[in-house]
Amino acid sequence: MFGDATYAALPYGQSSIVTAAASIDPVVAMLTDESREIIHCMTVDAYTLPAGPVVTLYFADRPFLSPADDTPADTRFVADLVGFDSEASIVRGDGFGGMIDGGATAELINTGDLYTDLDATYALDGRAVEVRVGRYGDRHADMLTIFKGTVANLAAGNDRVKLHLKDRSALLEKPVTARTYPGGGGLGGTEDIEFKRRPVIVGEIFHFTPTLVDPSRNIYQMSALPFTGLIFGVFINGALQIFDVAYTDMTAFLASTPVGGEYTVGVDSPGGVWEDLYIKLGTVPNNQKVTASGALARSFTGSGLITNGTTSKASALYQMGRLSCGLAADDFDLDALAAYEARHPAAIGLYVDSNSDMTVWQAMERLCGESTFAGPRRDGKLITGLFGAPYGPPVLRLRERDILDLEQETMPAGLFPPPHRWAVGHTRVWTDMNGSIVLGVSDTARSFLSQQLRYSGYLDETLPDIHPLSPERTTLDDCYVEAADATAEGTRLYDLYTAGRRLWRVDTPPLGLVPEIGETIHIDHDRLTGRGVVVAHPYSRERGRVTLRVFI
Amino acid sequence: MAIPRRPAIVYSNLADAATVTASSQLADAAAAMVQQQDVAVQWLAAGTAASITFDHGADIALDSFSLHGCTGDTARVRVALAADPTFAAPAFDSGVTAIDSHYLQATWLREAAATGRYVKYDLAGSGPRVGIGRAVHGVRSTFSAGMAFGAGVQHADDMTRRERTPSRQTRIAPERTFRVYTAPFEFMSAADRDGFVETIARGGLKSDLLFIASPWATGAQLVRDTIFGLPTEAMSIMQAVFGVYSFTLTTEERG
Repeated sequence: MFGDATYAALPYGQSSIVTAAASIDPVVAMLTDESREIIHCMTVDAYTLPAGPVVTLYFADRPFLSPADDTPADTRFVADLVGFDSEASIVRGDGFGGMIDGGATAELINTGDLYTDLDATYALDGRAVEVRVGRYGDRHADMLTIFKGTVANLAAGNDRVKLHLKDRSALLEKPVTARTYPGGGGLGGTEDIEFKRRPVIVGEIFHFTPTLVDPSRNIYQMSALPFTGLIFGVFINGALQIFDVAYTDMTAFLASTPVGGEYTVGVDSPGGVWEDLYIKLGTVPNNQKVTASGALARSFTGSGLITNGTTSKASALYQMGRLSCGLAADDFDLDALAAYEARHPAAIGLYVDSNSDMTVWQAMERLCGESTFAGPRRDGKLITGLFGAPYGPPVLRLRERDILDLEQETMPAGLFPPPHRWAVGHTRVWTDMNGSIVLGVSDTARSFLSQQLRYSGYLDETLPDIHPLSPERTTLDDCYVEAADATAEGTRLYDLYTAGRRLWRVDTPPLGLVPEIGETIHIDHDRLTGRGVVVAHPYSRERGRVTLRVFI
Repeated sequence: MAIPRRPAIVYSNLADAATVTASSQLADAAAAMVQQQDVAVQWLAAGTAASITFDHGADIALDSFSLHGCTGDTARVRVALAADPTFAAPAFDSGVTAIDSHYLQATWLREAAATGRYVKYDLAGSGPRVGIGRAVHGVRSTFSAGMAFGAGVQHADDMTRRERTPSRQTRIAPERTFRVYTAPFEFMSAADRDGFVETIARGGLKSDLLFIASPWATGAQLVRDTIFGLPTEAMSIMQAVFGVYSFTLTTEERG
C-alpha cells in the first residue's frame, strides 16, 4: 500500500498456471497470483474472563479491514500475527495410516507486553481457532481455510506469545462413554464399579465380558450408548445360554426370573432411546466366566451410513462422534465417509469395557490400523480415507515451476523391501477363555475360544528369494469381523507395496496448501512424473513453503 | 521569499495531541486510528467523501501538512481559527489536491505558518471507502545547510522472497516496497546541532518524524521526497571542525 506501483502493474507478476484462465480453480488462481501479497488471517473465539461473553479476536499478518460485503464485514484484523506453522501427517515411523496427526503454532508479536496477559483476560484453552490464507485485497470469506482447531497451550515470551494449536481431532478426545456407575446397588452398580465407566460395544464383537452390575440378581451390563442391534449369544464358560424374554420395561426386567441356563434381556431408555443393554442370568456358579457376543449399530436419519446394521470404520467414527462427542452431522464430510464406506465396507468390532478410559480418538486410532486414516481436513470436517495407491483425478497438478525442491525419502520401517507376509487380525475373542471352557462345548467352539485373535492376509513365499530383507508384517488392523475382509486387506496391502512405492518430499509455494491428506496430486518434473497421495503437508508461513510428503 | 532549498524535518506531530472527530467512520476504523502509529491502520469512512477534523484547543502555528496511507483520489486541508469552527474563512485552504497513487500520500507545505485551532482534511474518492492512515501536521525545522553527496532514496524490498526452483524458474512472494531516505549532513551549524537535531537525536529510534528532502518542490516530487517514518539507527553527531557538525539521518518509511 505504501510502496511503489501496484504489483500487478509490474511485468514480473505472473501466474504459473498455463491453463486457460476460465478453467483455473479460484483457489489455485489465488495461491499462484504473484501480483499480490499473501495474507494470513486468524480468528480466536475467546471467552472473556471471568464470566463471558465469548468474543472473537481477529489477527492477521498485515493490517486488514474486511470489506463491507465480507463475513465478517468491516472488521479490523490486528496485524500482530507474526508466525504460523502447521503440520498434519499420517506418516508414522513404521507405516502409514491412523489418525491424522495435526497441529499448528501461531505467534503474536509481544513487543510492549501487549499479549503477556492474554490468558488472564481471556480463557483461550479449548476455544475455536481458524486460520485462513488469501491475497491482500481478498475478502476474508473467500480465503482458503488452512487450519481449524483449538488452543491447546500458550506461552508468553518477551517478544512473542506463542499459541499451540491442535486440529479439530481434539473434538474426539472425549471418552467413548462419559457415563459412569453411581454405585448404590441395583442398576447403579456395586461400590466395586462405582465411578467406573459403563461399557460400550462398537460394531460386532465376540465373547466380551459384560460388566457385573447387580450380583444379587445376576445382572450384567453389555453396552451403554444408544443403539439398535442384537445379541448373538450369552455364554457361561463357553456354553451357550438360552434366550428367554426381552424387556423394555426395566421394572419387569428386574422382576424377571430366568431359570438356570437361560437369560433375559433388559433395554433401558434413559434418554428416550434404547441405550443401556443388560442381561440377567438364571444362575452363575462360582469360578465361571460370563461372556457375550453381539452386534450393535446406531442409526442416524439421513446419514446414509448405516444401512444394514453393519458398522464400518467410517460409521464407527460417525457414531462415536455423534453420540460420544456430541458432534453434529455438519462436523463430518459425509460424502467422504460414504465414499470410504463404499470402498471399504468391512465390518469391525471394538469393545470398550468398564476399566477403559479410551477416548473416541484412541478408539478410532485403533480401528484405523494401517489401512485407513481418519481425522479432520484443513477446514475441520472429519473424514475417513482408505490409504492406498493414488485414486481418482488429481486435485492439483504441480509443474516444475511449482516445485521448489524435491527429493526421495526413505520409506517407514518395515515397508522397504516390501513385506512378503501381511497378517491382518480378525474375529477377536475379547475374553481370555483358556482354562475356563466347560465340558460339552463343541470342538469347533473350543478351538475358537482358545485363540484370542485370528489372522488372515497374504503370503508370498517366493518374495524373500528376490528380496532377502523382505519382512513379515503383522498389521495394526485387528478389528475386522470377517476373515474374508482381513484376507482382502492383506492382499491389498501386499499389492500396494510390491508395486514399487516410494515416499517423496516435494517443497512447494503456498500452492501446496490445496491438497488434503489422502488426496491425489499429479507431479510433472523431470525427476519425477506421476500421481501421488499426500500423506503430510507441513506449512511454514515464514518460509512460504508447504512441504508435501507424497506417496508415489 | 520562497521556501529554502534545504531539507527540513517535522519532528513533533501536533496532530497526535489534538482531539479528532470524523464526519463518519467505520466501527473498526475509527477516527482515532490516524493517531495510531501504523500507517496501514486507517481511519475509514464508507462512501465517496468524508472529512476528519483536528481540534488543538487553541490557535497554533502550522506550516507543514502530510497525509499517509490514504484511501481516496483527492484530499484537501483547511486551517481555521478558534473563532471560525465552521471554516467560513479558513486561514489556509490547500484546495483539492490529487493523492499520489503510488505513495498514497498528499503533502502540503506553506512558506509561512498559518495560525488556527482547527485542521480539517477532506477526502474524496470513487468509494466504497475513503480514509487516512496517518495525519501529520506541525512546524518544520529547516537545516542550515543542504545534504552532502551520497544522499538518496532506496526503494527497499527486503521482505519480498524470491526462490529459484531446481529448474531455474523464480517464484515470488511479494511484499510491499518502502522508502528509506539516507541524508548525510556534513556542514551542520551549531545552532542546528544544539536545536532541533539534538531533539531528534534524543528521540532515538522510537520517535516518528516527517523528513522532507525537497521542501521547495511541489506535486509528485514533493511527495516522492517526503517520508514519514522512523530513524533506522541512533544518530552519531560528530564535530568535523570547530563549529561544524556532521551526522547522517536515515529514515525508514512507516508501514
